[in-house]
Amino acid sequence: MLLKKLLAPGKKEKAVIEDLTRHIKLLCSGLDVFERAFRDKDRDLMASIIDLEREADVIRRDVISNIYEGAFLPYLRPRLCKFAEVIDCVFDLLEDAAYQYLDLVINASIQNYCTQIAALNGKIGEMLLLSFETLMGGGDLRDKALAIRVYEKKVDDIKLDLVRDLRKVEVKTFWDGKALSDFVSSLTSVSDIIEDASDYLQVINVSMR
Amino acid sequence: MKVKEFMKTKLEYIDADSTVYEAVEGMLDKRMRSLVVKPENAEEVYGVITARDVVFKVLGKGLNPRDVKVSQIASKPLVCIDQDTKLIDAAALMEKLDIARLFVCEGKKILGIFTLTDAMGGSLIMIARSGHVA
Amino acid sequence: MPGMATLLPLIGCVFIAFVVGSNDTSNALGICIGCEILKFKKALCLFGPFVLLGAVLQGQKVMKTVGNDLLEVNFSILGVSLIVSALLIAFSNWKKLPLSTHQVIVGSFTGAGMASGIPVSMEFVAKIVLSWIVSPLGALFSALLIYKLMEKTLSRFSVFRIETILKSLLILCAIVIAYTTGANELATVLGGAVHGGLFSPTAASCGGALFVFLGALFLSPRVIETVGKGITTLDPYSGFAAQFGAATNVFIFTCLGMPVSTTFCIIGGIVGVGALKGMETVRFDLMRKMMLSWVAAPLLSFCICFIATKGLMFFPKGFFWV
Repeated sequence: MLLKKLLAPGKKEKAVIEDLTRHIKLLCSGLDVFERAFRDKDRDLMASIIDLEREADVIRRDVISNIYEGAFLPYLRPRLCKFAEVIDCVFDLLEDAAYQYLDLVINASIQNYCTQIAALNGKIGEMLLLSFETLMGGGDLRDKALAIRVYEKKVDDIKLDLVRDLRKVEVKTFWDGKALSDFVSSLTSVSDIIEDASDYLQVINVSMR
Repeated sequence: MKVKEFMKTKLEYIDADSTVYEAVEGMLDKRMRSLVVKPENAEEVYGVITARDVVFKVLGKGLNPRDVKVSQIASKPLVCIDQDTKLIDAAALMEKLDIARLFVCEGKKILGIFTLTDAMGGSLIMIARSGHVA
Repeated sequence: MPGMATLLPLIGCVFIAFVVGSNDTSNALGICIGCEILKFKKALCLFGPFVLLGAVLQGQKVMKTVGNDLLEVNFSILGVSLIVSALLIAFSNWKKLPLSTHQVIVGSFTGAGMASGIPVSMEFVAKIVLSWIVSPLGALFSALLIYKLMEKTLSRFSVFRIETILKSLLILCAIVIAYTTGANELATVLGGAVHGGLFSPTAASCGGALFVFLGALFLSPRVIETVGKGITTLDPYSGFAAQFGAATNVFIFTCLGMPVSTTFCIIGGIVGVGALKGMETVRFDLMRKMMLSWVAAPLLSFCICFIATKGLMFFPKGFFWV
């Protein structure tokens, strides 16, 4: 009992771990909301992503301040901070995509591709959460990292066809075209950044072994 | 986990009377290893021409791809499965028939293609989710 | 007893104990404070008592080696040796030279003893020199073993659990090094004074520990900050393995009664874990400096003490010489 208490993480460390878990769960919610909003063409639901992003910012700040108030050994701190910041990047992309969507009319020819990518983004987010939970449990992250890479490759394959069809879409003005292009760019970059986050978890995992 | 989660929906078609050379062009251009061969007439069924067919039946035999029609080497009919087929059952079928791809169909409509790579990727994801393939 | 003969060794002991506190506290507390596992004040409250405990419980052996087995000290030898040692240590601190306290003291006693014609046990000189060579090598191999053991045992835990375990191990390490600072470093300083009849072992240990503590309190923070920053760039596994390898070796040599340097053992430990990652990471320039000071420190202190003793022997007996 005493040994367990001695070997348990401290208060600050526990707070950081809980916040990071909340951060990733919030990301999964955000990705899920995005997918549903896009599929059902629900602009109000899409707008709620902006609130989720703000909430994520608050969590990120808590994580970083707890870390620099003395949680974990100095060796681990920059890596954990970087991980929180990478998750925040995904939220920023999701928020950008949500903003851009609100002013767009998505062409039917690319609607299907975008729906598939949004669904895959949701699955990648879930896999990242599984990865983090595995890290906390001391398991091997390799299969989760591979699964994320498989999903990311699928997104890349769809992106190839999406971009090809996107070039055939007629736009009225330069700004309409830019908005559409930015939306597709944000949507397709989400999986890349989540893959980076997964790689970061692997770095954290091997650095302490 | 079902094949519909891992299948590719993007399919490329080629006419039955095209040459193998045109098929190779299409496969390389689209970075694919197979093309669906459209039926020549209403009585015919869909077929598939694969990179394996091109290499083994044409190039390996020293034939000129410009002289061989796609219909001469395509495999018919397509081996189809339902979209709700389990991953493991699809893999078993591929092993039994010694083929690298299955077509996911609903009646006469082709919904997508499920290949060895999709099976591998799907199995990885299943292992990551639950620790085993089943 | 002539007043100078007791005052000079006392001043020497106090000064050197103070310097041990200011310089060597970083060996024990550098990593813990650098990693913010302990705040300075809390760390010091842990350090002081364990230094005292080490000196009281196990300091006798090293005290006997330095103050009795090596040569039979008298007040005059005590005075010259400790004052020369104190001056050399002060000079080396000022010029930032890596001279080991142990080597300076042993060299000084040997020089003073030989100059005054008192028999010096060459057997013990050889044993001590051998310990100086073997202890960093021992620390090197211990660090390697500990690193490998940690890899095998800790890898099964989660990253966060490993991190917590390492923090606890680093505190344990700090305690062991504090203990050996008292049992070995402080004992080396006090050995001559105790066996020369100046103090009782208990009084010497308590007084010595107090001055080590004061040195740590007033002068160690800056050294700790410098050392702590440098060490925390090591990964936690390497840092702990190097320190604990050093600590266990110093403890073993303390049990054998041999005065050895914790600093050099830590360097040996760091080289050991560094070599695991590839020989190109090993700081051969640092090792060269260390080997140079191995030779320079005892030789320098021997020569200066020898000359000083010979010089003082010209004074009429009773003035300084007993």
